[in-house]
Amino acid sequence: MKKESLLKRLSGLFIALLIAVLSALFFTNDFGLVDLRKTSVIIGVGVDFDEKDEMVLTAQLAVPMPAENGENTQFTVVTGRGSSVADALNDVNVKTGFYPKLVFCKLIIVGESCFDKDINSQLNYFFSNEYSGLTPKIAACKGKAGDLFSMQLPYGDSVTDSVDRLLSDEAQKSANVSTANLNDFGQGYYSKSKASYMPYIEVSGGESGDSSGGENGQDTGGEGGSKGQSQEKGGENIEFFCGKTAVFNSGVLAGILSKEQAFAFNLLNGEIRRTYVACGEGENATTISVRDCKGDVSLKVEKGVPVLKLSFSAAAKVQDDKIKRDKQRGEKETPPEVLRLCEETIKTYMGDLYAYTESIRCDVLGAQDLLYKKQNKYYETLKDSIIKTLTVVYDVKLRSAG
Amino acid sequence: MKERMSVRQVCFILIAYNAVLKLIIYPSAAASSSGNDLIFPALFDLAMQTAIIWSIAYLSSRTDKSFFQLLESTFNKVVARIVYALFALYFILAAIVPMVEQQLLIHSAFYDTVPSLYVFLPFFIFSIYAGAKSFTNSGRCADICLPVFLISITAILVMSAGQGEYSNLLPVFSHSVPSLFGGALSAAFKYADSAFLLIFMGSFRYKKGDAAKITLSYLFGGLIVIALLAIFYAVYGAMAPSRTFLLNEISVFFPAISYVGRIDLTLLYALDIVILFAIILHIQASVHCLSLAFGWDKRSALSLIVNAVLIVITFVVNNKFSPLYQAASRWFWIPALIFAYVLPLCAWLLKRGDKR
Repeated sequence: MKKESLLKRLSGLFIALLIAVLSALFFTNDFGLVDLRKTSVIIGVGVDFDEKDEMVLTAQLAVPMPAENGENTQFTVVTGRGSSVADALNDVNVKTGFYPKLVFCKLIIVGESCFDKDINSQLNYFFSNEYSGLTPKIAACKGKAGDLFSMQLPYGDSVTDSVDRLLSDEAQKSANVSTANLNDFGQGYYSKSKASYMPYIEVSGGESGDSSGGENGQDTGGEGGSKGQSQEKGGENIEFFCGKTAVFNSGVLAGILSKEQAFAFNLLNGEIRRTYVACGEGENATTISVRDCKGDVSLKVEKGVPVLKLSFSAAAKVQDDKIKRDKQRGEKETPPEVLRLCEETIKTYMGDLYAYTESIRCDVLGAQDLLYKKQNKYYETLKDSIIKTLTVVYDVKLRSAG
Repeated sequence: MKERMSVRQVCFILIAYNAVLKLIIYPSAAASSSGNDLIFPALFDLAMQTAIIWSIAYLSSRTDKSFFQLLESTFNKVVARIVYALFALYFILAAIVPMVEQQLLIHSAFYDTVPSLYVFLPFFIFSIYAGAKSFTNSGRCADICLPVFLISITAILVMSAGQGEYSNLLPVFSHSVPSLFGGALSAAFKYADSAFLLIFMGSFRYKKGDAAKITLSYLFGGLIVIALLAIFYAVYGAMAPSRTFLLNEISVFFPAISYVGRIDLTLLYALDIVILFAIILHIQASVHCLSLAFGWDKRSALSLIVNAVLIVITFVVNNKFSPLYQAASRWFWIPALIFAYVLPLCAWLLKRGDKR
């Protein structure tokens, strides 16, 4: 008779041991899982500094509730203070008794008080946190981020969800908002250009103060800009506007791109699916629909001179104009003069963008990074002088969409 | 008749197990040591190890003997037993880093707080059982693991490849050659799969053309790793060193994830099963070597002993992974060089006896 193996003889003991171990784990700490009723998840975070330079972290919490009454999530805003994000989060924990989880955090908003500090260092907790990852979107706001999160929106909508919608991929693909997540911001920060960007949120109505006009002397009327959540609350109309873009040099705010500059930046930087360009004035005012967009920033060194080429090509179609209908009816091709007008408008936006970034010494277009990555043999000789010696070429080509 | 592994199963082990164990923390470490040039040290290690794999596979075409029998016929049984005892020790040591890596990966991906070490201990109940099994069993597990691996890794590649900015890999060779060689050396312990093939010798029946199949399988697994290294750096750029777990982080920017949630975690779960069997292969190899070294066929008892050692080590290195990985990068290339490079090459000098 074949002798039974040791394993077979011990199998009963193994099963008993397994049951004992699993029971012990279950009855001691529920396998390390957390009780839903003691849990809250942070869906959005606002970061500010107070007068004493202490970090004020405003966390918007989604608190899971028993589903019997139909409402299974409630939103609440809790503020924590501390010397760092981790310290402030601990303060949130102390105040609420919840274990705040960052794994569902999808939005980080930094307030004005953070702009003169290296934001990357201030948010180091999020960059190194394995649980939250680098997917949360990041945005700057006028005033205090805490005030923004404290706004009560009707219909139970949270500020995080409202702003997150405005910064959605779809909004980004329409060139109306410079959506950035922590990864985008960090990559810019660590690039040779040391320049990064994030959308700049302004609120009209509510308590965060209203906003109007461009930040660098330009009016921001006209089409575009990611604007939404216009909601009546006690006679007050709260609107979030994310059309501008805050640009940072080594993590410190360098300036805020106007809506047009941000639009040009998005055309060059983003994967734009379809957008609209308003060009012409008065009777010639035309709105062009632009699709199949290809934007690119490239750098060449010609005879020792760095040449930055900002190029954009797309298919364009007249979407709306004030020209008499009977002249246009039946025309399938977009008139060449309209295409040229639109090209000139986009070139003007690009020119403004470059002039502004040059004036604030912020290489958000990435010339230095391109020099390092693609023209590396010139990097050592040109890296210090590139911003001064750079020649910019604009190449905007629109074709009729038919 | 003694049951043997099939060459197909050896190939599957060299594709799946070879790749998964290099996709946990190694990419982050490679990004840390070699920056945007991280694929070059990896290519160097892969090329070197592929050559060794080919040499062992080709040696298998010249003899039916196992490595133990080759040692025995050239020297004597005592020498063979000593070498196999050292191999057993090597496999135990080689299991430590991936075992702790897997533990940390699970904690990071599936837990939102750091659970107690005791939560990980049931792993050993399975590993005691599976560790006692022979290589034939390892081969059968590989038959199951390969499709799981290929489906999961293909999905991860698809989800991540489009999210990278590949100019992050430029300029090529921005690091000096000595620095890249240092990176290759510190990662050499991750490219030590030929030690397994050496121990497999005699456990599979060689047929004409199998050397090419085995070598290409290893190369295929290695190239999957290289592709994922490149995508990982393209996705995270200079921040790649701070992103610890490639498998948990590389596909998070896939657009659908923001709508449907972390569907990539199901792929990670599947790959974790493959990682589990890849780690257990170390224990099986160690038990196999101990069994021959001590001439003791009680594999269950040997598996208990090996796992007991690993449990003790797990407690000792708990919360000390960073120094552990640094120590492994700094010193473990030496045993890896001996057991996965020198000894396989020395096998050619041993008396092969009857040729096919």
